[in-house]
Amino acid sequence: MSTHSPSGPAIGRLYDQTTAFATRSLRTLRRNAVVVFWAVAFPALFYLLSVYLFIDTSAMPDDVVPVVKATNAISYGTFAALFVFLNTFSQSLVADVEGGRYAQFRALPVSPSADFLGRFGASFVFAAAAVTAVLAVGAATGAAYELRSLASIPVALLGLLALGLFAASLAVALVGVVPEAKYANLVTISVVMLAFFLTGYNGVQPGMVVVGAEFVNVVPNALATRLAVFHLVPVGDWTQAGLASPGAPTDLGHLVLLGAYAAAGLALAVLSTRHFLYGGEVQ
Amino acid sequence: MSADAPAVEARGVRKAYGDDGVLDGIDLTVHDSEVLLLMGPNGTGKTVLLECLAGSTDPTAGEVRVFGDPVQEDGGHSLSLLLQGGASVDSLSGRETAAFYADLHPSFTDRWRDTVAALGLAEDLDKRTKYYSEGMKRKLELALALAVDAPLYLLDEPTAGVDLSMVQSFHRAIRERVDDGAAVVVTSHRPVDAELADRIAFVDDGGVTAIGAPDDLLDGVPSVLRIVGAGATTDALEEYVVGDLFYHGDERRGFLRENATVDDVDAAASDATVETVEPSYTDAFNYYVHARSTDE
Repeated sequence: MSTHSPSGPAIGRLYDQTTAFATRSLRTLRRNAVVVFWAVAFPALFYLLSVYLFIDTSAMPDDVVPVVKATNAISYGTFAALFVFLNTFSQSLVADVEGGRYAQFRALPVSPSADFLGRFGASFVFAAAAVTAVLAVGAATGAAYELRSLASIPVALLGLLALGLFAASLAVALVGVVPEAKYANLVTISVVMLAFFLTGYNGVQPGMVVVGAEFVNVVPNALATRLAVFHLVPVGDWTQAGLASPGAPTDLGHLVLLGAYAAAGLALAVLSTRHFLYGGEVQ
Repeated sequence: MSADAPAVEARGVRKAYGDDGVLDGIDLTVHDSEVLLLMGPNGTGKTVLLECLAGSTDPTAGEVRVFGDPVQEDGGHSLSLLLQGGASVDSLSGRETAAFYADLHPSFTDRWRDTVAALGLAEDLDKRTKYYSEGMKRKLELALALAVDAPLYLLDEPTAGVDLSMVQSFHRAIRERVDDGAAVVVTSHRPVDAELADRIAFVDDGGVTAIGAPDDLLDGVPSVLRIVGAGATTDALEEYVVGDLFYHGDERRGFLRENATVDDVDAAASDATVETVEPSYTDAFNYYVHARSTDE
């Protein structure tokens, strides 16, 4: 009778358990048609409605229209990512809580960090696919993208990572503190919608914010979106494109802030997973 | 882990959710190479007790030790827990579910393949578990729980929803672990599972009402009355029995009071036939869970 391989050192076991949670999460996510619709199809549809029905591109100069489309595609891509990191992530936790599987996990020598990292890894891949899908729809409808530098892709991915860790940590904490876990899903949908509209469509229309629009260069969803726009879209004039004021978040401080969001999100998520899901009896 | 310590030692285990008490001061000891069967009606806290023994639920008061160490310090290394419906995710296949759990426990073995073959599930491993019947889910859950090479297995109603022809195969798979020296705690409310037990603990109202070897518990049951046919009302007969009469198919069964005789019951039963029979495990269940407390 052979014992399965993960009996090795702790780091090897952490890797095996993280991979196990990631594989399981990816399988359950891609087999859930409702999740695929809301995370991928709906944001793409939302983008199409915006650029063909809500925004009058006929009055814009020809060289501005592709930029506006690209900016909106990135905005809705962030919307898709936020939906995955908040709502889809909390759904996967709630399914395991309500299915009684955390009572099972707590009786296993499972690392709570592996649980979170595995689920997050799957969500990151899923969110990246959702963002790519919206950007592809954008490209198919005339959006123009252009890399600002070799660092553009890594910076955009850092923004997605920071947004993801921050949002997923909120999802874990909500599942832990909302009296009945299933209601956490409703809260996360509300947070996604509020974050989108209160920041002027994830920061691409700061003019919608009546007072103190500078915060769109601070809050994680808008900051990640605006950094992605800066690095992926050939915007000539941020004011003419409706992206200012404030100006583009180009300081090193903005990258440091994103890193801080990622670090704080990771710490909060691991602590919440340990405390609420493995240290308690979330109902 | 101490070699001399019992597999499980629970002392004064209480569990309450808010004002609702579920367990009320349970004491239990389980030794190596034995099967302890926890029998009780639905909703009496058997699953919560098992979760406390496994360390996945913290008792409100009391202490649980496994092999001499507090269960929380063990961290799940010495035990394997089966919770009814707790393993499978609908959108995953049986094989994918097994692969997931294989990576979670360092002592998971490929024994699960032999168990699913013995239980007749091997052909269905690539189906998603949402297409499994309850019995098929129990087969998968048992195979995964027993695949862990642990000295202690805690199994929550492993035979629930399993047809009688398959129950013996479940018992055989569990017995193999016991023959290798493991301790097993099983919950059930099916009398057929008594055949598996070395000892039975009857659980009701959050406490253990009786515990002992199956034969000793059967010996402790008063004379069992079997009443067949229409005749006297149940009310007219109940002054001669301990607690209430229990309906069993088209017959009524009960436990003769110490100061009553079969002739007393026969006279009161009118046209019904009255006889005494050997106690079954169902009788033992009814006596220790329901009837005995009314006689004290």
